This record gives sequence, C-alpha cells and structure tokens, in this order.
Amino acid sequence: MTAQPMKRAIVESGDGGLGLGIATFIANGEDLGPIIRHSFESGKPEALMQNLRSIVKKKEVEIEELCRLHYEDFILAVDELRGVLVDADELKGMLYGENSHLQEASADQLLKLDELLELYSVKKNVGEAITTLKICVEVFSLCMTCNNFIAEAKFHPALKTLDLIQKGYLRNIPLKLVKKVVARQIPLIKLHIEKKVCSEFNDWLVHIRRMAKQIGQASISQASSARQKGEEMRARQREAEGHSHAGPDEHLYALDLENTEEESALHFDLTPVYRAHHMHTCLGMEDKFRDYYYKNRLMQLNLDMQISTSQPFLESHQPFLAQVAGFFIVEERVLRTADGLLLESQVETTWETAIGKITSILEEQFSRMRTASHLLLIKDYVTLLGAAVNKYGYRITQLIEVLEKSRDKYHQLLLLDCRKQIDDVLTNDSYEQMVIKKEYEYSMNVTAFHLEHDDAIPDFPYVTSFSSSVPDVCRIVRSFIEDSVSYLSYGGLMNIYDVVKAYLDRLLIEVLNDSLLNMIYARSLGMSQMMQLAGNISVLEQACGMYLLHSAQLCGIPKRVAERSHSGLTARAVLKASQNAVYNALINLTNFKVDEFMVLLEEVNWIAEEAPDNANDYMNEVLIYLETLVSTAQEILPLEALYKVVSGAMSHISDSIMTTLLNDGVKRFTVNAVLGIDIDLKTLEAFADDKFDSTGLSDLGKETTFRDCLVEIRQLTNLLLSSQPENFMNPVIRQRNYGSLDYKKLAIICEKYKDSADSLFGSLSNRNTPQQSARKKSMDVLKRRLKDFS
Amino acid sequence: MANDGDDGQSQDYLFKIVLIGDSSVGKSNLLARFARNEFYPNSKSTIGVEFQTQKLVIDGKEIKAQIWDTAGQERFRAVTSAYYRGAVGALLVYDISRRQTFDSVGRWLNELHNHSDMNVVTILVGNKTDLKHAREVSTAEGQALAEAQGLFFMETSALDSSNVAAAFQTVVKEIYSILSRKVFQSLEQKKSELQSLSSGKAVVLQGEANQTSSGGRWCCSS
Repeated sequence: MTAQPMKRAIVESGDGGLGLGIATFIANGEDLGPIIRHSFESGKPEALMQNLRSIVKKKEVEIEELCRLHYEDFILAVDELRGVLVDADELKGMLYGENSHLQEASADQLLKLDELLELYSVKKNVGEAITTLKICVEVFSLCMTCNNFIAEAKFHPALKTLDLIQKGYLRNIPLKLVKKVVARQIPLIKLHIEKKVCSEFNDWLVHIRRMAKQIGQASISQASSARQKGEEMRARQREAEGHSHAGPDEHLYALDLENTEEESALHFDLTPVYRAHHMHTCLGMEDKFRDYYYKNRLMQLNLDMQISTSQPFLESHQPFLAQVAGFFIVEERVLRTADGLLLESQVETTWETAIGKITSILEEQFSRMRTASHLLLIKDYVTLLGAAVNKYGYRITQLIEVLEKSRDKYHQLLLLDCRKQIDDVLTNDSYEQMVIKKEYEYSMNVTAFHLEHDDAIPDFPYVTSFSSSVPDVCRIVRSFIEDSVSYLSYGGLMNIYDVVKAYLDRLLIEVLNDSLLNMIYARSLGMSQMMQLAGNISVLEQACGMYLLHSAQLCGIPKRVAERSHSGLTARAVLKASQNAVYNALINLTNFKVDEFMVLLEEVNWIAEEAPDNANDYMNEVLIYLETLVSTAQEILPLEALYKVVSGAMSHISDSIMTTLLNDGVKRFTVNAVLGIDIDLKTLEAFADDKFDSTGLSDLGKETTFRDCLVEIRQLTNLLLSSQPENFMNPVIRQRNYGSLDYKKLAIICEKYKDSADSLFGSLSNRNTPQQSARKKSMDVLKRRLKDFS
Repeated sequence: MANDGDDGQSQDYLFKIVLIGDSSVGKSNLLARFARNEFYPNSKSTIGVEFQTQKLVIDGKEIKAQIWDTAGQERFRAVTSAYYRGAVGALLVYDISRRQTFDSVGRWLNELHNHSDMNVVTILVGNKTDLKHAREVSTAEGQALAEAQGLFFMETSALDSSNVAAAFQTVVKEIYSILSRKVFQSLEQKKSELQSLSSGKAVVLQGEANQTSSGGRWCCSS
C-alpha cells in the first residue's frame, strides 16, 4: 500500500492577487481570522466568499482526481488484507492450542510462583522486622549492660552507656512504645544513680566523721613522737655537755616500728567522694554536688565544734581537738586530690572560723581553770594539734596567741600553788639542822640541788647547815621551773630563757621572799630557829645560781654559755636584803631577850653601903644567854652576821644600863653601886674579848671590837670612879677619855650621884679620907659646870 | 591533800591519783578495767596524759578519784611535773613477765619523790598475772621490794580483772583514812606527824579475793 505523491500546478482564475494570498495562507497553515474579520469589517465579504468557494472547488477536483488514480491499488490492498485475515485465524487457532498445552503444563509452576512471591513479601517484612529488632536488641543490650553496671555500682560506665543510648539510639528506635519507655527511663535512671551516689557519699560522711577522731589522733601522735625524738636528742646533748665528753657520737637511729598501726589511720579512703564528684560532673550537676559537699561538711564541723557539757573539758578536750584535726586533715586531702571539689579559699575560711571558735573555747575554759597542771596539759595537746595541722598547711597563729595570752594566768596559778606549798614548808619546818643518815637522803636533799660545794659523799650521819625546808623549797622551785618551761616550750617563743627567768624571779621575790619575810616578822620563831632561818636564807640565796643553770639547761642553753652570762636573778639581791632583814630580826630578838634579863637591873641596890664582891645577877643571866647565843650562831651564821648580832647585843646592853641610870626608877646612887657596875662591865668585856678572838672575827680586820660596843657605859663608869671627874671639862682629856659621853645625859646622871657623906647622919661622920674629900670637891665642881652648860 | 582538812566534813572529796611505770606494763588497761570494765588487747600507746574520774564509796562517803594515766614518761616528758602536782596517791605498775619493768621501780620512785609530796600513798602493782607461764618476777620479790620501800603491794591482771578494783580502792581508802585522821586532829587542835599515824606492815594481797586492807605504810624515805 503505497500512496503516490502527486504534484500539480493549480491554475488560478479570477482574483489573482487575493486568491493567491489566501491560498498561500492556507498552504502555510496560518490563521485566517484576521483576514476574515477584516473583510467583514470593511463591508466586502462577497469577494472573500467567492474566493473561498473557488478554492473549495479546486480542492474537490483535486480529491476526485486522487481517488480515481488510487482505486485499483485500494482493491488490491483489500484482497491482500483478506488473505492476511485467513492466516491470522489459522495462527489464532494454533496459539490457542499451544496456550492450552502451556496452561496445563504450567499450572503447578504457577502455584509455586505464587508461593515464591508470597515468600518474597514475607522476606521483606521479616527483613524490616529484623532491622528494627536489631536496633532494639542493641538498645536492650545497652540497657542490660547499664543495669549490670548499676547493680555492680559501677556508675560511671552506667552513665556512659546511658549517654550512648540517649545520643546514639534514642532517635532511631523504630518502635514508638519502646522509644517512649526508654526516653522516660533515662532520667529516672540518672536520678537513681544520683541518689545511689549520694547515699554512698552520705555513708562516707558518717564514716569519715567517725574516723576523723582516729585520723586526728594518729596525726597528733606522730607530732608527739617527733617531739619525743627531739627531747631525747636534746637530753643526750645535755648529758654530753655535762660530761664534756668528746668521744664518738653514740646516736643510733632505730626504725620507728611502733607507729605502723597508727599510720594506717592516715590512709583513709576518699573513693566515695571522688566517685560522687565525678558522677555529678558527668550528670552536669557539679556545682550542685560541690555545694552539697561544702554544706554537709560544714554542718559536720559545727557538730564537731560543740564540746561536751556533761564531761569536764579536761577529759573532753583531747577527743574534741583530735576530731577537729581529723576533719581538716581530710579536707586538705580532698582539696589536693578531688580536682576542684573544694576551693582553697573555702578551706581557709572554714579553718579560720574553726580556729576562731577553738580559741574562743580555750579562752573561756582557761579563764575558768583553777589548776595550773590542767592548763599545762591542755596547752600541750593544743601545741601538738598545732604541729599536726601545720604540717598540712594550716596556719596556727591564733592558737599560739591564745596560749600566749594564757601564759600569765598559768603562771599566776603556779605561783599561787607554790605560795601555798612554800608557806606550808616554812610553817612546818622545825628549823633544826638536818641529820642525814643515808646516802639516799643525802642524794635527794643535798646533791640534787648542789647545796654543798664538795661533791664527795660525806660520812654518815651528816649534819647539814640548813634545815629541811631548804631542800623542800628547792624542790618546789625546780618544779616551778620545769612547769614554766613546759608551758613555754613549743609555743611561739623561740628563746624562752628570758621569760622563764622573769617568772622565776617573780616566784623567788613575790612568793619565797614574801613567805620568808612573813616568817621573820611573825614573831613565832625562837632565837635558834631565827638563826637557822638566817642560815637557810643564805643557802637559798646561793641556790639561785643552781636555779639559773637548771633553767638554762631546760631551755636548751649550753651550760658554759649560761655560766658565762652576767645577768643573774634579781631575786638574789632581794634574798640578800631579806638576809639583812633576818639579821635585824635576830638583833631585835636578841635585844628583846637581853631586855628580859636587864629588867633585873631594877633589883640592883643603887645606894649600897659597901662595894659588891661579884657581878650583879642580871649580868650573870645575860652572860649565860650570850654564851649560848654565840655558840649557836657560830655554827649557823656567817661571820658577818655573827658579828652584827653580837655587836648589836653588846650595844644594847650598854644602852640599857645608860637608860636605867637616866630613868626615874633610879633616884640616887652611890660610888659603891658604880663599883658594882664596873665589876659587871669587866666581866662582860672579858667575855667580849674572848669571843672576838675565838670566833675568828679578829682575823676579819674589824676596827670596832665587841668591847668597843660598850664604850659609852665604860667611859661613864670610869668618869664616876675617877678621882678628878672635873677633868671632863678639859677638852683634850674629854676627847681622849670621855668622847662618847653626852653633856645632857651626864648632867642628869651626876645629879643622882651622892656620896655616902650626904646620907642620913652624914654630917656626924668624921671618917672621910683626904682622897674621898678631894673627889667630892671635884665632882661638885663638875656638877656646877654641867649645870651651867644646860 | 586534795582538800583542806578543815573543810573535809562538808565537801565532796576529789583525790588525784597517778599511774606510773614503764611503757606497756598495762597502765591504761588497768584504768580501762577499773573505770569502764573494758580491756583492749591491742592497746595503742597513750598520747601524753589521759584522765578518768571514777566514783567510789568509802565508809559511806562518796569519793571521786581523778585518775591520771600517761605514757611511760619516756615518750612524753613535758608534763612530768604537772602530772605529779597535787597527786595524793600513786599506782606504781610493773609487768611480772618483764623483769626490766620491775628493775625500773626504783627510778619511778625517785621520779615520784622528786616531783611530789613525799607522803603520796603508793601501791606497787605487779600486773599481767594471767601470763603465768611467762612470769619473770616472783610474788615474793614484789612483796619484798614493797616492804623495803614502805609501799602497799598487789598483783593484778587487767585481762581477767584480778585485784584491779582492790588496788585502786586500797589507795583511795588509805588516802581517805589519813584525811579523816587529819580532820579529827584539826578539830582536836592537835598536830602530829603524818608518818606516825599509820601502823602495821605493808599488806600483800594475792589471788582472786577482794580483800580489804587493814592498814599499812605509805611511801617514805627514812
């Protein structure tokens, strides 16, 4: 079937121009609208209609021509088509048969195919399910891991797992229900972890508070051991200095095996703190935990700082201070190792607050204490506390200051205690020389205090120059020194020697010296006892050197340095002054005793008719007393004191006789009475000369002898017995022989002087010798001239 | 004495008693047994000084004993004088299983005499009688030393409580007895030497019985 293209030229008739244009338009397939519209608008449509009918006719002619040409081909084509139709029917039958065969053969296969397709669908679904379940399995696996970690309290990996679930899987969980459940559980688990960790941390808080006391005690024990080692070292040095030993160093250092148990307390476990801190950091709650830690520890500290009221502070202070020390040792460890959990400023602020409260408690307790040893014991523990916490970097200035402030209080209590002891010792002393029978006694009472210059042990029984109060006082003073050094040691002072000396001076001056003066002025001691007291004071004054050396030794100052030092104790001068006071007391006591005997002067017969053959009774008594006095004093008193006492006694006797002659008790006396006084004086002067020589006083080069003390009464007696008493008015003779006599006294006494011629019936006597007459005249002259003077 | 004699009739008594002796003789455990009826097998060394106040009843009077326990002095010398100051009684403890601690008794007596009133009532205590097979100091030796020094004497065991209370009571009773006599004599306006008040010999108590001491002498130097 082929269409034969025919090309014919169309001959145009009529409007050649318009028709050609329209035909071109139609051939080109262009739009004729505008042309048609133009035609109708211009009012000439007939021309256009005509042209169009022409074109139509032409076209119809062409079509008929074309149909006439192709008629034959058309008929042939139809015949050929009929043939094909038959072939097609034939083919159709064949296909139909084949199809039946195929259907029969493939029925089974078709069923299998359906199954296969179904299985593919199932496979796809299962694949999706498996993918979903795989994700879920991973999530669940992580959940189980997380649970295991939580069960084993491994919270950090649990938290890591939780994070992994949240960030890596949560959005991708295909099952909504599972997703919802997991999403809801994550914060709950985190909360659980936080509570668990907090619970563990709270348990740790309770545990560490209980442990704090042991930690503090262990640390303080270490400080104590270090101090003990230092003490032992210093003790060895003192021994070495004392022996001037230049041998090899015998210091052997032994391993310190005793403290292993104690040191284990210092290895406390901070793991719960680290864990809690880290967990809270992972949970994004570090600030919260930091705050929680700080507040809870602060509360614990406030509880620790409440001291027991049921127990005396003396017994509660050690656990109290150990508890606080332990607290701060733990805080220091946390600060160093817990990576920002604590700030240094926080620990310092807490420490300043705590130490302020401790010092406040100590001040209050110290102010209420009445026993020095209690103050000392607490001070020692406080200094150990200071040493322990200072090792961990805490400042202990306030502790040192509170101890410094209590120093005077402590020493006041010591002084009070010593005063009581010393008063007891002095009151209970018998003031008799000690008789030592055993070497042990000698060692305890003499050698221990270097009270004898000779270090050799004497034969026993041995009589000391002092009474029992002296070693007792030395013991008290030594204890005071030790207690003073104990308090001042390990405090803020580097050189405590000057302070110890100052307090020692106070003890010796305000306590010992005052007590001694009280004994001197109490009028409770007899003569021999007062002498012994004087001897004791002498020994105690010498003992000041021993006190200084002991103080220096305890303060760690070498002996040779202390010996070379020129600054001694003020107390030494004060005791020397007291020595003079006791000598004065001895003099007063002696004179008082002498007065008891001089009262007998009143019994002298001042108008005796005859000269006596022997000394008056009063003089005999005085001499017996003086004999005893000198023999006792010679054993106890130093020569200087002995001289003062006996000289005083002699002067007093002289004054007493003068006073008696001056008093109204004696109205008149005779030459015989004067002769009696002369005998008395000769006896006394003989005694004085003998004692002056026998006691060794003459060797001292004293210008005034005992006899010289009697010069006034001697000169008076000489004058009254002189054959020419008027010579007193001669300046040269007066200066030489009567220099001690006073005009007024002499006038009074001379008025009382009556010769026997003036007695009753005197004018009747004619027995006056020429010598007596001459003396009488001379005395009358003297009387008149003395009267003229007055 | 802890109190003035003139006020003795109206005041509560507080007696200071010190425990002295070498390290590890059992001073702290004696105190723990007496005061709290406790025993610590692995005692730590005492740091410095520790205290315990315990009440006793003697002749119907309630008496407080303030017992001072210290390290064996070598380790903590700073409180030596303060430790002894004001003490009216002392327990001088040695360990019967360590002869060296017994040989140190003389030194401890010197220490006591050096730092305290010579009239401190003292009892010599041989501790650890439970260590029968390890004994190195016989009872007779302890007794002889106590008699020579004018001390009371007892052997104790802080472990099994033997004689612990008796040792403390002996000291407190004697202190109270002396104080009572002092009060009586003060009332009578008399004075006598305390040393002459006591009579009899040092009392040696052994075994489990809590026997009461009928009297005895205390520490003196004659």
